[in-house]
Amino acid sequence: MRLLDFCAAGAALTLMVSGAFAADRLSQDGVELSAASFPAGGALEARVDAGGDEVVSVHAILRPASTNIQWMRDRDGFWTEWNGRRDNLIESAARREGDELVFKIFDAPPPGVTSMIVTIAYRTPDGIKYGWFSAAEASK
Amino acid sequence: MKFFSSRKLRYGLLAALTAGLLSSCGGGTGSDDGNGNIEPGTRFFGKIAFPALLKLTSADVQKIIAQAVGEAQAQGVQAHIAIVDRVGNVLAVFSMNGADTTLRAVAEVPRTIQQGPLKGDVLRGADGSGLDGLNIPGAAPVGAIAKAVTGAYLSSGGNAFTTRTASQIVQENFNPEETFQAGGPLFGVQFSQLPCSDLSTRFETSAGVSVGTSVVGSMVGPRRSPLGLAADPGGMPIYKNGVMVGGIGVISDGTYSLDLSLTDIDSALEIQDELIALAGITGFEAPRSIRAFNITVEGNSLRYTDTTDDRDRLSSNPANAPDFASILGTVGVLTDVLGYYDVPTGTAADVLTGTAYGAPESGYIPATDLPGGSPFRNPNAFVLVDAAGNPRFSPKPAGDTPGGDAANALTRAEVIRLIDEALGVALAGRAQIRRPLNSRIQVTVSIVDTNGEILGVARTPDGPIFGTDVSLQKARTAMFFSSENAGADLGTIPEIDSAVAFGTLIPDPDGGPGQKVVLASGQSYVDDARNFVAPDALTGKVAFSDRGNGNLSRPFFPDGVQEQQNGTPNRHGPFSRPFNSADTTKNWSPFSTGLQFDLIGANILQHVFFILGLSPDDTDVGCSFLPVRDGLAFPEPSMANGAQIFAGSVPIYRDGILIGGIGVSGDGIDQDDMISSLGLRRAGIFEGNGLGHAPEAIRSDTVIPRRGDGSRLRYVSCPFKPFIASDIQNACEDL
Repeated sequence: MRLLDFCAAGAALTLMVSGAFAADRLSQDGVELSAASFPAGGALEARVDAGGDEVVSVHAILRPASTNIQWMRDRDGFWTEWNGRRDNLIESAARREGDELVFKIFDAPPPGVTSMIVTIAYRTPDGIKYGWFSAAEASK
Repeated sequence: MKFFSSRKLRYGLLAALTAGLLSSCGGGTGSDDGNGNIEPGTRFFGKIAFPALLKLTSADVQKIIAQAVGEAQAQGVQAHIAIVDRVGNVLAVFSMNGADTTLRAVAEVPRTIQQGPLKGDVLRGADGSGLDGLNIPGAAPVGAIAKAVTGAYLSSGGNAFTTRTASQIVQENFNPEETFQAGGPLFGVQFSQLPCSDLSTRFETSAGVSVGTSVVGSMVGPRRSPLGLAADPGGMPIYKNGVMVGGIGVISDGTYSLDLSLTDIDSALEIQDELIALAGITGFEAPRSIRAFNITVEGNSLRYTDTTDDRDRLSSNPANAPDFASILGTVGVLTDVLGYYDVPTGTAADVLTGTAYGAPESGYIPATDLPGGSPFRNPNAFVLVDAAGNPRFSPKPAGDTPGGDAANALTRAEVIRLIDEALGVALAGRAQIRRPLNSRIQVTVSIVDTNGEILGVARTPDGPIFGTDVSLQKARTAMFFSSENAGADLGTIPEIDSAVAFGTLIPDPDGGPGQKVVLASGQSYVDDARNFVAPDALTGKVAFSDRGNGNLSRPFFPDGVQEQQNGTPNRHGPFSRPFNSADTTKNWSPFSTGLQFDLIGANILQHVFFILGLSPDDTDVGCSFLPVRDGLAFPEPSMANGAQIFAGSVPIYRDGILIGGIGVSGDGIDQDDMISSLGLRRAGIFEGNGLGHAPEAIRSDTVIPRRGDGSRLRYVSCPFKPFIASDIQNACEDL
């Protein structure tokens, strides 16, 4: 849980309606990233700073809120259930923009899912770096 | 080892084909021989009746409100009245004109601080005693919702409990005021169904409040409660044709308190909320035979109301109550409560119809109704679903790496086995809190891994709803405090001063100084535990059941022993605030239990501020500031719906390695203990792969805290002769 002060929360709301957020760095211990929102039925991307890292593969996992379901995204944007084993993660897709990796999470959220936790990760020769953020449909 | 009778031998022959494949556990309990031979009558996989599909209609809700308003008018008071369905959907909140909107959390009569810089002041939450004494402007309807949820969630087709019943079972002694008696059996349950729970669902308002929230369909439950469960009389269950369908909560006196004096009869002022609720549910009463006063726990009769026959103290005749149409807009209005209830038109059209528990709309269905069929053998299993009927916490394999090896993790088959065996024990058992006598136990069972990830949740058909969230809290608590990172994780939680965290004091509408709440740091509890128990406490060397952890969470240690010796303060568990300390600002109360509350106090405050429009964001899904253990596998805190501190869970091990927790809630705590511990034992015997209890040498009942005056902690306590169709006396012998 983030220790939230009201002003920071308000600023975050303003920044996140575009469906993408400013670049953070992932870590091998995992890191909580800024929350994001997306327009109803709209797209969501995630941008991270991977500067200096040799990226072997990228991965994206989506967990609808208040469930124990986990889906992993493939290169084509389809979601498959994940059993929680790192070795079983399939590759997803991301584009490189300079030092940044831009993960395409979805063009439209899975049906009925308006709130979720998204985990993004990439493998380096030294192991997996990852982070997670909560994402929800923007206020109507 | 217990010798089996000839009847058992016949049963044993049937099981012998498989028993040879199983490794012997070296000894039996009172209900099995350790080799897969289960005593007949201690395991039930037959079929029982499911609750009838009934719901509160909008017209029902309007009638209930009108009857309540009639009583309030007759008393000459103004009230906030909330109605919920069985799974916590708020169907209406009605506020009478002029009703006091402030919520005053009062666990005791106002106390004067006796020492320190605030000496002489009246104690408030601002002084650091949690929510106790906090006056929250505008929050009275919020309290009414919590009371209604409590009336609904604590009750079932077999038991009708009120918030007065809740008051009786959460205090430092049971019965309250009976010194030298252990704490209430549901000690700590008030901090469940929390607004930050990752299990409970959230209401999406038409205003589109969605960022950071979890919306799992339009009306599926179980819904969260804004303040947890309430102990302030005036919350009652609602029945329709004898079927449990919802709850009513009333606040007319502006206080959110509890009944500290069980032996007296409340005054007219103290009982006005309850009388208004009683009038409201006229025609929707619980069957008399299942009301709390027919139910005993530890030899004590439970309380339902402070009336003789529910009618003797009413000031009105509910039969003469006004029509709802005549009071809406004149006597009072329907009231928006952000995150719970919308009033888009202000008309009776905004009074909602509830869901029918057991239908997909309620979020609970028989597992046999799942599209792919039930994953469980037990035909009575109920499961949670989303609005589309998809399972929410279907059994799944763990994604953790216990002991550094993913091969140790719980498999899906083991999760199913654990739940099946637990449900089998429950339904064979004699319920403590259900009537008629010899009813089967009804509970919820939850399984988690070492990250706190939910691996499965299932329940019997008619378990009280509160057990859904509580069973998960219990499973996580047993797992967490048994884990090697418990102390390190707790140590990362800072002291939180609400005035700093939220940038403002809470104004006191009664004219007092601005208020704040200070939550103790996690490290302070770790230090206390290591001082009290052992220097290496909370490093995974002890397997803590929730009963053992509960011993350390009571304001007296040993539980109930509250004598002062040589003028020293009462000894208290290291996870509890002290009782009657000279520094009254730090005192224990049901609103400030200690570590349990301090873990989630900020979540409750942020949520209340959100409801009142003081915060743009609601509290996150996932309670506490505990660190995430593995963000790939489970990106939420390891106790993401808070901790629970009464019995009913044990940690799960495989060959001595902690791999998870099993929690059970919904009946008596000894029954919950038996179901979780026997369920685990039997699953381990049948799976035969090292799955089972912690080694005896590390269970919490081997621990004698170094500052506990020689008193040992406990692990599991099972009821005597617990089964309906078996004469077994001690089902957990040699567990």
